[in-house]
Amino acid sequence: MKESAKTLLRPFAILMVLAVLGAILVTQVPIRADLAILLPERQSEELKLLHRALREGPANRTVMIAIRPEEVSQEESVSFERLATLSRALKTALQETGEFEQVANGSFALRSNALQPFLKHRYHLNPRLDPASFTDEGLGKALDRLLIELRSLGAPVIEEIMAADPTLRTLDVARLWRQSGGPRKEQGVWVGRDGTRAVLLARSKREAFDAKDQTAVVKALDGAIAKVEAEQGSVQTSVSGPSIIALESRQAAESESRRLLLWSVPVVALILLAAFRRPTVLLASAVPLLGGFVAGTATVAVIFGEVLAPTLGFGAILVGVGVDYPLHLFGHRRPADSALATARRIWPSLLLGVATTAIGFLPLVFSSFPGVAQLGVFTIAGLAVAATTSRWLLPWVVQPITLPPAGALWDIIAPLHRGLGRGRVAALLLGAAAIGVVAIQGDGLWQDDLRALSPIPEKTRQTDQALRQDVAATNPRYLLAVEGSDAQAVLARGEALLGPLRRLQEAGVLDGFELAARYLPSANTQSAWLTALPTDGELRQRLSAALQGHPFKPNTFEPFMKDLTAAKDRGALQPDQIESPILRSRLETLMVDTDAGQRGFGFFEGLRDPGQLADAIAMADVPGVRLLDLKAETEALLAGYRDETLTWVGLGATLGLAVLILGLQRPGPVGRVGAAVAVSVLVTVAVLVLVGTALTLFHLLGLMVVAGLGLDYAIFLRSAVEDERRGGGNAGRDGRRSVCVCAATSVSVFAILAGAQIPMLGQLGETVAVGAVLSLISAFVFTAAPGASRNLEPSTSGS
Amino acid sequence: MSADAVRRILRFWRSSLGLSLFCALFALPSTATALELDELAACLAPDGGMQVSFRQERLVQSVDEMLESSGRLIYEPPSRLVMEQQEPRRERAVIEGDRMSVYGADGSEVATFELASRPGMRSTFNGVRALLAGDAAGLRKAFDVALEGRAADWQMTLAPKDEDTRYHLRRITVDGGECRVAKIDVRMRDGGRRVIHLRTDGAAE
Repeated sequence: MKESAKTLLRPFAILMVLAVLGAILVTQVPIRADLAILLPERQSEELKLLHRALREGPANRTVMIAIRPEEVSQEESVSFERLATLSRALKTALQETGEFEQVANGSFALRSNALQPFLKHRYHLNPRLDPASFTDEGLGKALDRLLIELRSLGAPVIEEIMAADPTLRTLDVARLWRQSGGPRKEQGVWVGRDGTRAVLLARSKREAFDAKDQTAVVKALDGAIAKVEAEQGSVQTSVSGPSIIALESRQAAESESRRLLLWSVPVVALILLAAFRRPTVLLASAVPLLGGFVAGTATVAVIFGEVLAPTLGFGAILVGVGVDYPLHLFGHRRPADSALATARRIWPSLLLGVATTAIGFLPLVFSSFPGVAQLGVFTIAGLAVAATTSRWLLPWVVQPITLPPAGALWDIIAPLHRGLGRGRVAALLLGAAAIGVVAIQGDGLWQDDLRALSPIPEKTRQTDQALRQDVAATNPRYLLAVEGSDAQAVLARGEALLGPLRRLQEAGVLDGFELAARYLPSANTQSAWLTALPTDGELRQRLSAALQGHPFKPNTFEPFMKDLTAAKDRGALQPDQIESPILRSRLETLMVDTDAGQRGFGFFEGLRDPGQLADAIAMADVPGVRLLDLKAETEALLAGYRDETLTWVGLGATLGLAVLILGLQRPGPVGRVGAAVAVSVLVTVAVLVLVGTALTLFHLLGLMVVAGLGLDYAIFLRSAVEDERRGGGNAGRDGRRSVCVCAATSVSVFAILAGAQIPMLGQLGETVAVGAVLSLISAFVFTAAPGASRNLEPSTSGS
Repeated sequence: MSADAVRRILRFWRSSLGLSLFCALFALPSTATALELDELAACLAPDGGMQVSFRQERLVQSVDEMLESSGRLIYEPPSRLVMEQQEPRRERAVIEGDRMSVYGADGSEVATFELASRPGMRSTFNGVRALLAGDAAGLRKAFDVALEGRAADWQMTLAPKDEDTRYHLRRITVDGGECRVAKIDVRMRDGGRRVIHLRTDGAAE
């Protein structure tokens, strides 16, 4: 007992040092958690801008909410009135939380305070300001209209604005801003595509990607929903939005890591305890792992200046391969050896394995996916440090302990090993068949949906998609990009498109469009409008003429004349002078300030003929305007990504093979180890494909891990066989034990990972779990003692 | 019984003949004694919804003439009031709870008013609703009620009790005869006025 306490001291001390280092790193280095991380840097300028616009715009703070009564089953229809009641109740409840700067449920509430921004800027915003409205005749008509409006049911609002705005221009301006782009509406509220649930949009006042802020927002949401439930009976709700997704995926990542730790630590501990029966082994094995993690993080931080959050997660998993190195050290320890002697003895094999794996990861470093490049650097640095730690530090750490020698139990694997050696031809045939399976798939091998690369749990993604469809009216595929040196240039270019787009709308090619210039005229246009307005004197004269025969009291319209003169004097309204959040947010989604100048975006509703749209835009020939087909762009992007991925794999494999040749030198061993790895990787791919998996980047990363594991197993099993040939008897016993323990830990950890809710973690897990099993079998098959196989298959072992 | 049949019967009751027949037979005492609010209210109360034609005249501060409009007023128990305006423009206002939503001829929502911020309007609609529902308790709660005249020709004066409302709304005078309301006259503090003439025998069906 006393001894075991003493033996724990060294690994414990080292781990503490590493933990402190790690903690310092993680707190000091900027860690970026970003959903768009896995998008390649090389993507087209437009896509990049779009993604940035979408990422940084106020859209990120917008939460989509759907609500429907609980008691109704999916098939039964809910009355629109009921949905409208719920929608209104939720809107009020959300507004009362004070967390949201704007809540929209589709209702067009012509309240005087909602009209205020339109009233304020009525002579500077679209629709066109017609000077004819301010002639004697125009004013006379306006007063007729005013009298009718005063008799209408909306009269209370008219009474409030009539003195300042007898032409009711405020309503025309408000109508333009309000009528556009809406989801389906029933009973005055948005009800989603199939009309089964009310949908709302709420824009929070908080930072979109701040965990604490968003937790507060979610709390406010829950509170508002609970309030509605208390008043209206139980409801079903679903909520999504970029900020919600960020929060949920962070929570999912946290719960996945907890789950992974909770299950894998006891399982690995159990395996190690069963194999070595010393608790110190557990602590000591963690030393190279933690060392690798710290080294990987530090290297990435130095090279890239920041660490992406997924790099940390995946890096930790990939460096997990490094747990094999200490296991080899313990597994190969013979009673007579000192720890250092064992380290020295296994070093050539260990070095070969590490070097080959690390070199295989080298091409990742040059990837255009920033996340992948970081992962390459992380893994190489991490594995190198894990290996060197195992060679030079670990022997000192475990020096005080005496490990039990491999029991005679492990000898039963020897005949199995020899037996599997007879399956080489079968294995090679299986490898060839796997190539066939993969070849038949062609391009279908790959996951074409960029979203499958997302770190978002599948359920969250589906909720988001459904909500998006319910609230979006614009076509998600075609997008207009307008560039310009400043906002005025973008507005002027947009203005030049208004005519052609309106003609398309009249021709029924599209139902509507969204463009900043549709709402805010360029400064030049505004100035022209304002100049054409009558002077104060003219206006007074004309108005008094128009008032003849109208029953308005004298001096009623003094505010009108004051406002018009003030508008004339004020000059053009610049986008950055608009304060109203309602107006601002609309313009901000349509116009974004980037490093490369201003970008305007145009969206289309009910687009029926993209070809005609493209022709019309080409005909208009406005500089800096481009129609983007996002689907085509994304497909091109994916094709590029696929080609690049395959280049990595090829390059990595070639480099790995070169290192193997350098290390083993003779063609026979190189061929056998190479074949073991190739067959296991190929068969893993074939298994994945046959169960219907479309491959993604993370399967590929998984395959690289499989190759690394396969190399490790083949190299150590080969040296076990060599030892046996030289030393005879049970000299290969500890090598087999070591490899089996390694394989057992890898398979169990990655099998646990395979159950992850986050798609990319699951993909990595399933690949490696399957691959590790296949690698072990394949390594046994190809490394079996030549003696045994010569008897049975003289032709295949002729080297 | 089919829903159609029910609707038909209801329609019958709603029509003036059915309503007055019902009132004459069961509700109103034929004596000419002083009129009681509860009796009047009970006789006004329709069994089911009701609709009447209306003609409205409004006087607003800055305009020298009465602003006229007309249409139909529909009461759907327990608390929904619908104004279907025909002139000057087809429009529909739904008053429910503390909200009045206005819809255009095509059914699109034109405006929504939060009545909480318009005590005058809220009080007026609540009064009309209580009258049409025959809700004597509701009337007494919101107004000081004075009732004059006889069953065949009565006048009710409603003075708002609530301080806030009194600031905007002076009083509501309701004229009627037998079991029907003929005219609702709403006078505001600022000189504004709204007169609603109701006619049960008019355009209904």
